[in-house]
Amino acid sequence: MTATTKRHRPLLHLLALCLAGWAGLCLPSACTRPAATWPAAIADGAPIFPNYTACDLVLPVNIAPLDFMVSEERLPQVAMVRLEAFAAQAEDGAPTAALDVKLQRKDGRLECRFPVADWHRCLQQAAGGHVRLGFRNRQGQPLAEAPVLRWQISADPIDPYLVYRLSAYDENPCKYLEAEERCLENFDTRLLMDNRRTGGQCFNCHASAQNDAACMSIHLRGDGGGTLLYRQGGFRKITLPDGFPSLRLAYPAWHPSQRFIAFSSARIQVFPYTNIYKTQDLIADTLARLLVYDIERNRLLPAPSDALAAAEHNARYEVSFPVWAPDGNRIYFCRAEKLRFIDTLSFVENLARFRYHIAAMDFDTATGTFSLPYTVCIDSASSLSLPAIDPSGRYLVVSRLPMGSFPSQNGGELALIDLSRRGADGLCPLQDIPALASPDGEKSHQFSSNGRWMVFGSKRLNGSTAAVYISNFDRDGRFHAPFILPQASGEFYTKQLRTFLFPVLNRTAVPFTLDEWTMAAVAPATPIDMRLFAADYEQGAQPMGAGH
Amino acid sequence: MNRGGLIERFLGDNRLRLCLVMGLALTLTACLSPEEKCLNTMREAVYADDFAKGLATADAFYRKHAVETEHPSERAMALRWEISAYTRLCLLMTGELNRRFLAYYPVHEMGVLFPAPLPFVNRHCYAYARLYCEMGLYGPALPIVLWHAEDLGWDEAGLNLLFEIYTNTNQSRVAQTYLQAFQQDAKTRRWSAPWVATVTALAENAASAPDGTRTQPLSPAFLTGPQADESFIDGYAKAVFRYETALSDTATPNPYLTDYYTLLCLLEKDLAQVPRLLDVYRRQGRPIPDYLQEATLIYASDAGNAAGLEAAGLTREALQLSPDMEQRVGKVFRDFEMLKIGGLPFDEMTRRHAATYTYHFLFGQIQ
Repeated sequence: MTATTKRHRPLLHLLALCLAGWAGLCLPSACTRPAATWPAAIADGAPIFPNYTACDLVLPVNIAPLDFMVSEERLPQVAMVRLEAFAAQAEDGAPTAALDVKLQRKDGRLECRFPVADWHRCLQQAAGGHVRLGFRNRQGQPLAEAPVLRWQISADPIDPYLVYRLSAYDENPCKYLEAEERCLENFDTRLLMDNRRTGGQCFNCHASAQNDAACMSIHLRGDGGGTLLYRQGGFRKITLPDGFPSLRLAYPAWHPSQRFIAFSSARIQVFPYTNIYKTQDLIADTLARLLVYDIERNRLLPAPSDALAAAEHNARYEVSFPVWAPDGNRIYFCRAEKLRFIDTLSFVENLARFRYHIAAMDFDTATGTFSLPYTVCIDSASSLSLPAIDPSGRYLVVSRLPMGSFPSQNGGELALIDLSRRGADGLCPLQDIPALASPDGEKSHQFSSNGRWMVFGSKRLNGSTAAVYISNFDRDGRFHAPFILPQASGEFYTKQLRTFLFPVLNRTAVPFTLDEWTMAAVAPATPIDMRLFAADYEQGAQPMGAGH
Repeated sequence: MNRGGLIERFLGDNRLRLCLVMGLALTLTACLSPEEKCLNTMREAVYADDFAKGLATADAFYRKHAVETEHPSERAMALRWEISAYTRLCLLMTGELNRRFLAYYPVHEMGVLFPAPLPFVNRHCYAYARLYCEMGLYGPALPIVLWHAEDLGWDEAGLNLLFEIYTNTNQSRVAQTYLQAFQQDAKTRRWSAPWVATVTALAENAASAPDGTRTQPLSPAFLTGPQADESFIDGYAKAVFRYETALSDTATPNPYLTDYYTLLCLLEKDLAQVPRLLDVYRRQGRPIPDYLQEATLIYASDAGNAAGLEAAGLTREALQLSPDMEQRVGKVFRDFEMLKIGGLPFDEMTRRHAATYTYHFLFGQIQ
């Protein structure tokens, strides 16, 4: 301190006192604001929030910092954290890098915010090894009562971009919808779609072709709706022509060749079922069928290809959520016997019988023809929906729902199907995934392009709003404890009311802007050539209920 | 004095300033349509729990505007639907639902107890959310509270309903998230302040109570819960009432739900429910409402039914049926006989008796 400063110290103190008094007088709201409480109900008993304390946590080497809040009640002396990188999995040895972070106070809470560049340097040093995170006091001494967190660092990166839809609440119908892109290596977000720009039109079913953001589709509902295809640097909007009232282009799945998109079409029947806690939409499908759109020839192909077989199949089954095998030679989808109400059962009991299983058809890319469908996996206790396939083609992850295939219903837990294994009945067995399970349900899952990561939505944080979680899927076909999508502030999820839906991982950033999307969304759509389809389409099939 | 000085003097005078503000307010109020004025007053009354004032406001409005000479605009019609929703709420909360609902017969929007399309037409209608909450039907109340906030932003009344729902259903985790989110804005922070202690206590006791946020599986346990064979509120209200009363012989459902369910059954002319309804009112220690008294007299006009009531201890004396009701029912039936022989025009029959349940029983469409 200089002599001048020393001389003016009493004056400085007086000035500080005056400033404090002025702040007290002029900013009463700041003083009356209560100190933020620890979010006990959602912190799940952990001393940090979000809870990154799972012992089996595996992080991708390129993930953004896992910033968090620290509970002073549970760790009273805590003042800083130390992150140490270890190149190997072994516990012994000296760290190859370390990072000390002083906790910052914000709104009465302590926050740990890692500098992004230093965090990445540490993780790079720990790739294939692990990091240890310890809590320390003001003097830099480890806190005896605090846990030491151990995070494995996988050298396999996660695709750096995530697209998800945001809705205001977890209740239908939501008025305002947005789709955002988030860079997973930092905290940058970008608005891609906003239905306030298109007259409140609902949009959904965004999908990219095998994690390729340059090849995307988005379905727009309502008047002036259609399906937007982004491909080869530009948008194209397609729609079904008049005369096919029961058809919809929903739940898209891009063929690996990027020439075909499989859709399932169904009219959904909504049965709002209310209990004392919440209203659940129990949703059944009707008039469902698979549609395959040939992008190059702007036409729809029937599936199965044999007209008689297709008619028989469509008369017996509802189908939903197609997904292509990575080699493009097979398509998996959900299939259920058509719902027939039995008078002696209540309507909920009837709906509870409406359960999907997983079926498949072989596909000849050269001729664009399908085989007859066959069953792949059945679960007697639940309805299998939302299949997602890993890039090796060996595993399918499905959501086990109470009934039907529609993802908006409550519940749903993830299960794994190993397609390389067959039981005595010729069907693939279904395995629980305890590492990912929670009482609040998981769904909307998707693999990264290298197959080592899966993102999914879960309401486990507060039971009401869904957030995105990331889990490592190792080479032994085992999922590790998931972690919530990290945010720039640890308190983000304590007050997050919007729900994250349908996370999709991309290798690159989405090439279009919000303005470009808006222009494409309001542009007129090109009708699809239906000549191949019209032959076996039942004109008598009238729409019923709400639809996509 | 120059013009600037005059303006300065005018604005500097407190009385003149008050006049200016009041004048502006009066002008703005005068610009409001009768529907808007009525709805605003009813809203304020309901927010202050002054349901009698809300009902009086509705009555004053309907006295002048029960039937519009010209077809109302879409905007006016939406407002009328909302007024009718508030009217139902006020009737229920003042205990008048089963005494006066049918008196609104000239009002088209009051033709049915629950207009099914309303959640989609006026999805943000506070009156419906409040109605459901008061009946203990928190499930259907919640979306309306959230839609209200999405459409119009949060207000204190909506925020209170939100926390009432979450605390009554043990949804501590999501309640805490909302509490945290509401800290970001001065208004919502102030409104939510009274809920901090309740939500914190709920969160602390979360382990000892079933978490209402948790998913309800379609398991056998869930299937034995209230099952609605119809969509929308009427079906659900019936299912919950029947479920609760079936649980035990001594169950006493929420009184507002009881009143609502009673009117539902009566409007559907489902007089087979009369013994059970009488039994519930008796257990609740509440007087039998007028419409149910009329229905009881009609039901008991069959000797077999009367014997059944007697056997169950549901005698006239025990139920304390009003002699006025007996006279009312007798008068309607006597006029009905006159009508049948051409001694009374139907218009006169309607004018005299349309507000009674007996008239509805004889002529009303099943609603």
